[in-house]
Amino acid sequence: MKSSTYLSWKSIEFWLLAFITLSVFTLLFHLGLLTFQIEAFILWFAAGVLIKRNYHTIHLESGPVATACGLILLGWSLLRTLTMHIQYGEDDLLTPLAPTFAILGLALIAIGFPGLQQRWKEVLCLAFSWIPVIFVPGIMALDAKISHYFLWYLGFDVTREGLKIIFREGELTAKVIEIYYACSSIGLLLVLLKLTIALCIIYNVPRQKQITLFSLATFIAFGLNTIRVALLGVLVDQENQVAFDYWHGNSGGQIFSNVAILVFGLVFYWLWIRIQSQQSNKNVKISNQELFRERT
Amino acid sequence: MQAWKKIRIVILASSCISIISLLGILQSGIDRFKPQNTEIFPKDLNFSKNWEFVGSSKIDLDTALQASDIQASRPGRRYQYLYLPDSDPCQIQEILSSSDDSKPCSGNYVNAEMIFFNQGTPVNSVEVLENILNVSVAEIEPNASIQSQVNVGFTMAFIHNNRSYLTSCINASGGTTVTRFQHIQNRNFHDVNPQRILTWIIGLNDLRDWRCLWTNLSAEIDATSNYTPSPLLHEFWQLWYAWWSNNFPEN
Repeated sequence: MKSSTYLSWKSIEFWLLAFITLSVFTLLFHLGLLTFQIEAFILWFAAGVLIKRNYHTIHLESGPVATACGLILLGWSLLRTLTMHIQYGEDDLLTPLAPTFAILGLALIAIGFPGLQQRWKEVLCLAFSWIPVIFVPGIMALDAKISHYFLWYLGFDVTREGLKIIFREGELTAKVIEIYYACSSIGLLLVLLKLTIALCIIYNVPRQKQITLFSLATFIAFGLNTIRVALLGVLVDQENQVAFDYWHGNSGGQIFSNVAILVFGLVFYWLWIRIQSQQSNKNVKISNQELFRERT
Repeated sequence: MQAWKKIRIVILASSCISIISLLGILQSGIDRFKPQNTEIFPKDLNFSKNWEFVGSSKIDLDTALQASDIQASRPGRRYQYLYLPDSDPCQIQEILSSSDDSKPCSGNYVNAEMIFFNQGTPVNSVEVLENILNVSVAEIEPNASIQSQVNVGFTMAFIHNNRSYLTSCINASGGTTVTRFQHIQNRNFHDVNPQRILTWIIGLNDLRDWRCLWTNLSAEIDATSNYTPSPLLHEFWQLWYAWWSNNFPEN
């Protein structure tokens, strides 16, 4: 019955949907809303792995209600983005979320409500790959507190006033650093959270381990950012402008995000893959493919 | 079911065409819809009968704000006024003395610099001040004070290089603000209401109206006498603020 609308090259729906998706993404790309960062690629890879696994269960069908909802969602996000872009550029809270809403709309048009319920993980991966960094004031306050305590433990004479950390307050050589949004943990946190989602989906990690992984991701993100803020503070304190510019700029920031991804990857390997391979050695020898097949 | 499948193909095809045409609109020139980069401040401005308009000149923002990342798309304007209340003898003297080399009324001149900000972000008036005047906050901080008045808002008063200054940013609605934080608070209070939220979600306007008229009033301090022009600046400010509040520029 439903075999006629498999994800196949031959159906007209497939080509129409492919063209629609392509034009939507070209539009969003020209508006400058698609950022191509490593965590986006990892989430696409996770979605691709899932689609390859469940190829035979995807039906390009959707009922009238789903199509209508999808078209409304897609149309709203595109039109709104166009009008806001014309008037206001990109200083808007909802505009960076346009890719996410567009993907949700496209998913509804392509696979409908039952399809969405079945394949929610792939849609989640794709929709999440463009979640922008939302600057939460509370996180910056938390950052300031943790960095303050960290520096104090290391033995520096620091006091904190809101988002500012003051070295040697009251003396002539006092130095102040203030935490702006670019230096808050939220960037690293989002990268690691996206990575966790992708890894949990690809490797079918059970719920309990998922929670452990998410907490570890948060811990690593905050920890590394604290180290970065402390490093920058110490460099400001020692008036080392060259080193400060290096670590504060793009290269320094990228070093920290790379280290965060590496550390998290090592933790994931140690916690999960090692255990999996040990188990497979202990039990009957299971081939790799069976390990990754989704348990139905 | 067959009927729906055919309808669906038609719907998909038409939405594909419409999205491609949206792309075409975008390509063909979205710049046509952008607001023009014309001047927004009038060349002469008579806002009060007590203040005589002397002259105005353009503030070129490309050079002034070059070193910072503040953006303002329209050129600013610097106005100069002379205080001539009705009972001022200086006015009569001006009329009587018709020779060309007569000195202008050595009186109370007030300069008003105006820049219109509409960039969708909060405005830090102090940072703008630093760039326009080429001073740093540390230099003026010792004698600067931020005052707040009921029904008007916040202003910052300070003295620099023998001139007395009064700086503020007139908001589209609500009081005037000086710091970035005040601007944010003001907009949160006045602009976050259900009607604006709805038009924001639809996409007709931004949630918060970030338009702001940066104003910098200054008057010279006469070093010889004990006279400080601060009361004069405040009086000018009341009238200036009232006029611009009623004639607030659109985009």
